[in-house]
Amino acid sequence: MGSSHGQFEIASDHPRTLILDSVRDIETCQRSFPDAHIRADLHGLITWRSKRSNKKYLFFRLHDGTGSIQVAAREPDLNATEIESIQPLDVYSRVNAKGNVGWMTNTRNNASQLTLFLDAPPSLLSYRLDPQTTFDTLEPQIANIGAQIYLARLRDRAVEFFRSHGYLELVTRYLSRSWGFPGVPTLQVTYSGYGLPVHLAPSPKSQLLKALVLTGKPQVFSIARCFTPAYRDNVVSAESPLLLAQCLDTSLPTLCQLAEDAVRFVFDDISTKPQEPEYLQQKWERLDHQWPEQSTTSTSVVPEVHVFQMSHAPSTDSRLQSLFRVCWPPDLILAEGAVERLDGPALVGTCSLHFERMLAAIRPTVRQLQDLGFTSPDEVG
Amino acid sequence: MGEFKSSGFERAWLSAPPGHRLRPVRYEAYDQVNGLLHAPVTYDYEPISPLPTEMPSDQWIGESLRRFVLGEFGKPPDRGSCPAECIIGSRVEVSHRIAAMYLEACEHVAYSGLVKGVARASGASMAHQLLTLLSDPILGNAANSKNIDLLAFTSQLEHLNSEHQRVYFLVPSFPFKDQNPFRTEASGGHVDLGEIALLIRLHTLSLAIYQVHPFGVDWVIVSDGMSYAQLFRMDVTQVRAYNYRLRLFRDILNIYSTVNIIDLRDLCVRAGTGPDGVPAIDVFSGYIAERMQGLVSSQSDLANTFDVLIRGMKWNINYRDAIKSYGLSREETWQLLNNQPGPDIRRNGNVWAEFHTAATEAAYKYAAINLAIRYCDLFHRFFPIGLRATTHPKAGQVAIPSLGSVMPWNGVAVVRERIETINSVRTEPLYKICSGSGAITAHCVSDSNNVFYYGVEG
Repeated sequence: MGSSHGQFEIASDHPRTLILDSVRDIETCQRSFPDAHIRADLHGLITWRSKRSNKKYLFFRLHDGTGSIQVAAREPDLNATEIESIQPLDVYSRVNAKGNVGWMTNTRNNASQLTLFLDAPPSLLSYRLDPQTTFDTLEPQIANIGAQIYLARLRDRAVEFFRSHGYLELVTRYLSRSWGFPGVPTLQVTYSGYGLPVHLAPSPKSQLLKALVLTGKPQVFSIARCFTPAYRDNVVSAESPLLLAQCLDTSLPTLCQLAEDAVRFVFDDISTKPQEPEYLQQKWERLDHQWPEQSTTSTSVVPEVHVFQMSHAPSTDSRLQSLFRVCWPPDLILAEGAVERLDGPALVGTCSLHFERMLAAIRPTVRQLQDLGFTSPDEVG
Repeated sequence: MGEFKSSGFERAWLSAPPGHRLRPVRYEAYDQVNGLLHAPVTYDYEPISPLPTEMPSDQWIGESLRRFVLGEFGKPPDRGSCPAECIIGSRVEVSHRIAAMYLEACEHVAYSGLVKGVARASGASMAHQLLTLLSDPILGNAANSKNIDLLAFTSQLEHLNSEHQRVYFLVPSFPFKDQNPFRTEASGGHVDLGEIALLIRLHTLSLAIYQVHPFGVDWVIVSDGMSYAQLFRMDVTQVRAYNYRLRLFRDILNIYSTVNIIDLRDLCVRAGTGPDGVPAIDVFSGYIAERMQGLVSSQSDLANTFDVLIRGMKWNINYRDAIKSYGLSREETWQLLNNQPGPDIRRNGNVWAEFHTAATEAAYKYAAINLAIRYCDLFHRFFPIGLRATTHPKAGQVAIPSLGSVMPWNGVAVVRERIETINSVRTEPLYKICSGSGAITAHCVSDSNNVFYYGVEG
């Protein structure tokens, strides 16, 4: 039994430095840990600036997508020359602002306001970055947006492939009133006043089979997300985007070939779309994309197709015919699928492409952590 | 227990054959409903290695006793004179929802910039980031920064990561509510906001660590109430009630997947039995207790160490019935429980002797059980991949978060003003919160006369 004789000291909440990159986190941490020394490293948009600025001080408000904060450039944190260099900044300027966070009291109304005190002039976010800069060296926030753009391109390429192969695209539903199946567990959504939570479907597979029945088409696909808290590998997140396709009357070799072709097609060109002259796009165009050539010239490099029988299939279930994977060595599963026997001789094939794993194959450092972080602004207000 | 949700770990543990341990294994399974492969954990059973065949030497017992007492009780504190009676200003009814509010406040912290900020500041390896979070004074316990060796910790983590395994922290704790009247007024089966807050803090730490560690961590609370009930003069029905409420709140708060609860007595019994059916661990502890008595009576330094343990036992044993039957005053009780043989106690010589004898007997048993567990290396034998966590910070073991000057079961929950942040709930012995000047309000939930938490002004 634990006991205490006073030797168990209370952990002191000693001041320490937190380096935070969003206004929301600054507000949360400031409220929860008022003694902490908070340093801010914000990428934001100037939404207002004081007209009463001079060589000794300047104020503006910065909105970073999660909230806004007052920013102060003042002596002695900055010298007159540095403050002067900030003068051209105006509303709509996008800047990276760094400094310490504290409270500033307005002498007129005595109200305190959370403020970022700049200790260096904010740098204007340039849309013409150094072409030598690689994706891996980007700051986490920009890399995160970059990952999202990449995922969109991977998705577009995959959609293009399946459309061109005569697959009918559907927008499937995520919410399901019940989900009592074993296997991949679901994330659940609680509606206030609606009793038990509803489930977010981990895949649209059952809806696709229904669509095959109702549309009379032999092959359909859907872009979806696999919502699940289950561990699948160390790359996919709890809301992992995927493409799931189904087709009737297929065979394992046919489906394997389809999946392999799809992966090769997606990897064949993801850097040229879209063509907006954005800085991220420009930078990525300069990235070294060696893998498409490798995949076509050397079958031993990437990707590889692994066909295997499912070792854990219930022996009584004869419906499952076979499974396959398209892997990026050593163990990144880019595509996977199965051929199953419906009641009788009818066969249905399922194939899924996993975009976060594809992204990891391209840029391993842009890993999607199992992050249930905030995506909405100011929700702790 | 069937009425509560259990984690996969707990279900596997309950199904394990005696003498077997769990070996978590990730396998790949194809989910036909979703058309996806996933990698759930299953638990294989494998026999534990045989227990020692020989009894420990006297030298081992003596040295282990010294280390045990030092680690558990340290230097005896001087609590001074008897504190004034606690005056509770008013009593108000609150909802269990309070616990959910605290959970929300803590989860906000886990998903605030704190984890990112801490991880970014520590940089470098995942092990370093994880240790930084465990040592964080808000999320973890600052003592870990000096008690855990980074190199050894890194090595342990690398081994687990290579097998795609979660980290299991084993922490013997959560026995029952302390019955020292200066620490609590509640019954032994009462679980108050303090205990719930600690469960939440462990869960919060799991959420935080999951952001830097791909497989996450599980806490395995090895509840030791049933093991120690008899020697602490606790009614086992109260221990069961305590366990029941603990699981009830864990279930309501939906944190049963990160905080597992198993029973220490169950673990001990599973280690095996002797030829006459007596659990092997009892045979070891019986032998150790017997040898210890001889050692303590023959070695003065060990006797001094043992006195510290006796003091500690007096402060922990349930003497409530004796206090009532002897009609002891608050001052007399304070002197008895603090091992202070003052003039009042001398007038009650027989009471002093009774208390002292009970504490001495309990001290032998308590130490013997702990030493037997150490000698048999039970935790490692059953959970070779588990890392030891502790309520008493010490070298080589991960200290769990501290909510105050005592662990929750040794005190009461205290809330100053409102539950807004992770630091809103503290745990203190009752007599300490009454020594302040602010008004005290007892907050109770409707289904219990016990206090859920004490609101303290100022």
